[in-house]
Amino acid sequence: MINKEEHRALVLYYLCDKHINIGEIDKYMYIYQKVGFMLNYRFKLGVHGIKSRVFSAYLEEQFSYGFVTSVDKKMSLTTLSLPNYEDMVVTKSEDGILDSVFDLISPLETDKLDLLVAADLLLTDTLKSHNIEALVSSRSYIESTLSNLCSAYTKENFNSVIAVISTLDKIQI
Amino acid sequence: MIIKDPLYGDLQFSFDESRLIKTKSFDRMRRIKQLSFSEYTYPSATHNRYTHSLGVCKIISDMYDSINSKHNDFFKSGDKELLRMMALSHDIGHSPFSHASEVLSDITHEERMLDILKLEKDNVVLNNEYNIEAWDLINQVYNGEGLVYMSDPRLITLHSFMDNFIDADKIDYLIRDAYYCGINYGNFDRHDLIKYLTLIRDTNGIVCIGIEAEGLQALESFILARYYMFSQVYFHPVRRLYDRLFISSMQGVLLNGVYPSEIKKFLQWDDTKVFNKLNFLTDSKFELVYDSDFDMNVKRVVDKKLGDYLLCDTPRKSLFKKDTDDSIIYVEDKLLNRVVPATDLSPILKSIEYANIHKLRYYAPSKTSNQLKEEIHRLLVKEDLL
Repeated sequence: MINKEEHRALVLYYLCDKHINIGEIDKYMYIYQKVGFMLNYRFKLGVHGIKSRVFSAYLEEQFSYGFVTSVDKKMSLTTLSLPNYEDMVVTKSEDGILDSVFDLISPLETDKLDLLVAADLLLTDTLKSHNIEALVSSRSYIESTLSNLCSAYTKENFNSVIAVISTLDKIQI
Repeated sequence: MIIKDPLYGDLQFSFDESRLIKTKSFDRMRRIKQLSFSEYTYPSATHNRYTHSLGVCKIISDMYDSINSKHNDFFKSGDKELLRMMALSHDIGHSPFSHASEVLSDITHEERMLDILKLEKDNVVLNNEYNIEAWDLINQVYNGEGLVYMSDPRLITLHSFMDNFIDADKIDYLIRDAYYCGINYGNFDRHDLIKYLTLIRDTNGIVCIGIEAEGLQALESFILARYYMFSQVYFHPVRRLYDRLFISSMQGVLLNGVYPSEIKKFLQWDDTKVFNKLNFLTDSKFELVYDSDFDMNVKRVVDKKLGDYLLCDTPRKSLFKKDTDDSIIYVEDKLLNRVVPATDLSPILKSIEYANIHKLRYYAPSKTSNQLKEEIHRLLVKEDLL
């Protein structure tokens, strides 16, 4: 499966099947894009965390067509989408990664998930603009930025999310 | 520099701002209509992105002044100038016929904005404390990304002046579009809405734009204006039809069906160039043969039997995003010393919290429209969908 539309539907339906909290769905999308699903979303950091205009429009469309729903903020598939989801052709690699990423991320509380995504955004931007040596030497700068952005920031939590990010970096489709 | 505006009177721009306004890239926005093909329904709706950008600059200034008068310890020197430059730049990367063109591009207009600001960098002047180029800072704050942006939470708040439930872009385009279309229900109390804006700290400690309780009615009128404008103007059947025809025609004209990614070639495209390439508006005659609230069952049935003969359109818009923080605008109630979501205080906003505009429309060529209208009706009766 290499089609962007198919990957978008697959990841969204998978997460709905897992009944994730609607407030966290953008972050999960970010993470699944990071591990190689071809979602082609561009994420920006706003006052309420990361979001993607294209993903928001796609999600709204899925709600409008009755393919997904949310009850008490928990996402679900519907009778219209469930058969489509069950018929999706998924490779063994994609299937394995969907589960392994979910198992890794889902135990995290919301504020730690925020920290994880913010940390990854910051690290990725630093690497993009500079290099690995700059990344290492910028650690205190990165930590102070995260402490401003995320209520869950502590040195301990930061080290935990770095470990998660390292694991995610090894998972690639 | 002073420019007269029919909505706001005299607009004043600094020397640095006028340098950007006088660039060819900014000037190009005179030839990009704000409302695409809406002038075929509302003939006076010929205003352009140039005047809209100037208007947004004025609105963002008013927002800043209002909020700064209450929270002057939050902002730093240079913030207002940054906001104004952001407002001027925000639409500079738009394709011809605005949002109708988005499917004809591999690159978003926000990404093009970066390329254009870099191209015009000698005329993009903004002193800043971050020791980065002005174009880089404006791009980072507007697009909500980048190292400098993430390093200073205050910049995240500044970003929300242009990307929020209430933001300068929405305020100007609603007022401007209603004015030029000549319709009244797009109006709302701009002065009160801006007057009562304030800053509220959310649970993450991020400072976001909220509204004081005295501004609740202005907020209600703003949201209702948005609803009316979407249902009456932006989703008007004639405009939507022309958008669809435009897209399919342009896909035949553009190399690989998309606008050029190279910025100088892209900047050659404006509404005038499009009209020189296409004459589809006089050649194609279509009529609306079905228009109702979206129903997936209807769509399935009609698409299956008659899909080859019809043009389908499904415009949709939610006023609030479902159950997400984006849907929350906070109200500061000083009397009771609390901060609550606006929907908790306003029965009107509560009742439209899940309001959705979602239509299902079919168009057919004029020659066969009567026949197809009857066919659709017959089909829906047979399937018990009417």
